[in-house]
Amino acid sequence: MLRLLQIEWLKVRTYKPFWILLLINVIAFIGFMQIIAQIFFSVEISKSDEKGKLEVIRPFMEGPFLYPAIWATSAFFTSFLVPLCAILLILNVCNEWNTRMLRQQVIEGMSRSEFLLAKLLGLVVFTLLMSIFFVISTLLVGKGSFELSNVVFNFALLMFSQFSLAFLLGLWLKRSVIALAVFLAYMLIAEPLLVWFLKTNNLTQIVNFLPLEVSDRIILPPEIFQFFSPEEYKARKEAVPQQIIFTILELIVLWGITFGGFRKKDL
Amino acid sequence: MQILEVEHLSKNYGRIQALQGVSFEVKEGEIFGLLGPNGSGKTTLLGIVTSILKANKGTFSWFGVRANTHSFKQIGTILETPNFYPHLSGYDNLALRQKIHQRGSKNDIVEVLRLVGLSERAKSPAKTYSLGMKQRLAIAAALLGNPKVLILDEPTNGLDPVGIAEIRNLILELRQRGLTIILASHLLDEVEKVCTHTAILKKGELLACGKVEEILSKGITIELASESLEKLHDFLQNRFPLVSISKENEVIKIQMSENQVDLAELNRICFEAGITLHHLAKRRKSLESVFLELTDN
Repeated sequence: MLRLLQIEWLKVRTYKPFWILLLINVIAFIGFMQIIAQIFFSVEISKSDEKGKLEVIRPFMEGPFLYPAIWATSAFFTSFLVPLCAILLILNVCNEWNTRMLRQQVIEGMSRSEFLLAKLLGLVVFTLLMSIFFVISTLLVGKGSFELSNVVFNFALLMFSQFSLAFLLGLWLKRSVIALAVFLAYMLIAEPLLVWFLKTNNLTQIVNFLPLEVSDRIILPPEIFQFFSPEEYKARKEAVPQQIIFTILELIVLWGITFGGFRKKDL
Repeated sequence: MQILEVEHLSKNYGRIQALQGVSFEVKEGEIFGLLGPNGSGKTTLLGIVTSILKANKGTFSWFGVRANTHSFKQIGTILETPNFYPHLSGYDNLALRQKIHQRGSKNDIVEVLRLVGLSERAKSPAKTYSLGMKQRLAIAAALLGNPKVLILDEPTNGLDPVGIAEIRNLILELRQRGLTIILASHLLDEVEKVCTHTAILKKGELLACGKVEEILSKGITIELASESLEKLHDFLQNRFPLVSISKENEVIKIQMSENQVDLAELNRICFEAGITLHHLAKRRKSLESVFLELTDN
């Protein structure tokens, strides 16, 4: 395993686009939460009371930024940046096809399973790395006394799941432009449309199994959202353990199909 | 020792039959040339035996056992174009290959780079190399850590005449070291000069396979002439099991199998039959002629 990681490290060690994109991701992870905090603490929110009297309130106070709630707040907002990291992974795997180095590595005696295992280990390390940056970005905006939360694990799982989807898309589609277009089109258009369609046709249960939605649902919106829709928030909160299991199952199926299918594929 | 055994390999891409039941074997120390026009299936065949392509039918084995990652680690291969990570230096590309196949040491990298004349550019990114330099780097990568077998697919592509001669000499030198080489090429002259054995493919079918001299012997023509060509023609046709006989420009041309070709004996038999030959010569065809005949070009 160490050898496989060393091979992956040798590939990216001097690959400038990788480091530039990684730097952009890190800046985005840390900067985005800073911006969210800046906005939050500078805006006051108005609400009418029962008597129609307008009062200026700070319903959230510092709540979403206090430990441990900050983990959910941070995970919710940072999850919007996960596709940015996915671009890096798509480029990384498509590069193996473009340079024809995937086949060369197999010719040199690396089995297809070893190749995939090396990439899988790389993804795990990358997820851990981005999780560290997630923790740092959260620590920078967190208020009150420090307290850890299982949201860190959930967020790492969400990242790993969506990174895997992006990576496998790149692996099967081979061309980075096509893989990126498909990934972004699915994420931004196709899945939201599917969610809308399924919800309007009372097929809400199926929504939980959509490739991105399955892991999206392991991260709850910040607690302040229950202020707007308490029932939906409660239902989502209760479904988190189940969504974690679905996400893990999705990962097993995806990687299982890839390991199986890749064995028979012409390179 | 048997190095590679291919049995009834077939491969199709949709409706296109790229290989049709190809079988042959390569033994230790041979320089085995795979010949064939473009699209004959040479690269597909090499792709299958290096495991990057999957055969639809048939099997192959390396070193007497079913191919596995361990056997591939003992083979140095260049398929088609030289492949490298463009952002990595020549040295780092070789270090990466070494990490994969786990052959040799760091000193071997320096040694093979010196052997192919790339020591001075070892630290430059591969993307700055010319095609010829990339080809030489690919050869260095294939030689790294002393593999038992070398597979070269069009190794002289992109090289100038001096480079081609260098590669030819390198192949002969490697053969002296006991390396088995499988060489795919459409340069017939190249194959004739360096190969001990050859297989000729056309449209995925194996047309001929064996020692180069045996295949060339099939192209040996004997020219004979006497006062009465008709008498000579009839005598030869009735006396010998000929592959072919024809009459051209007052000369009779015959083709016999290799073990029958002995000019002195032929002269004696004709003389005893009362035919005095005034012209008797053996003409050996080049591999190119044999190849063109076999492939109907």
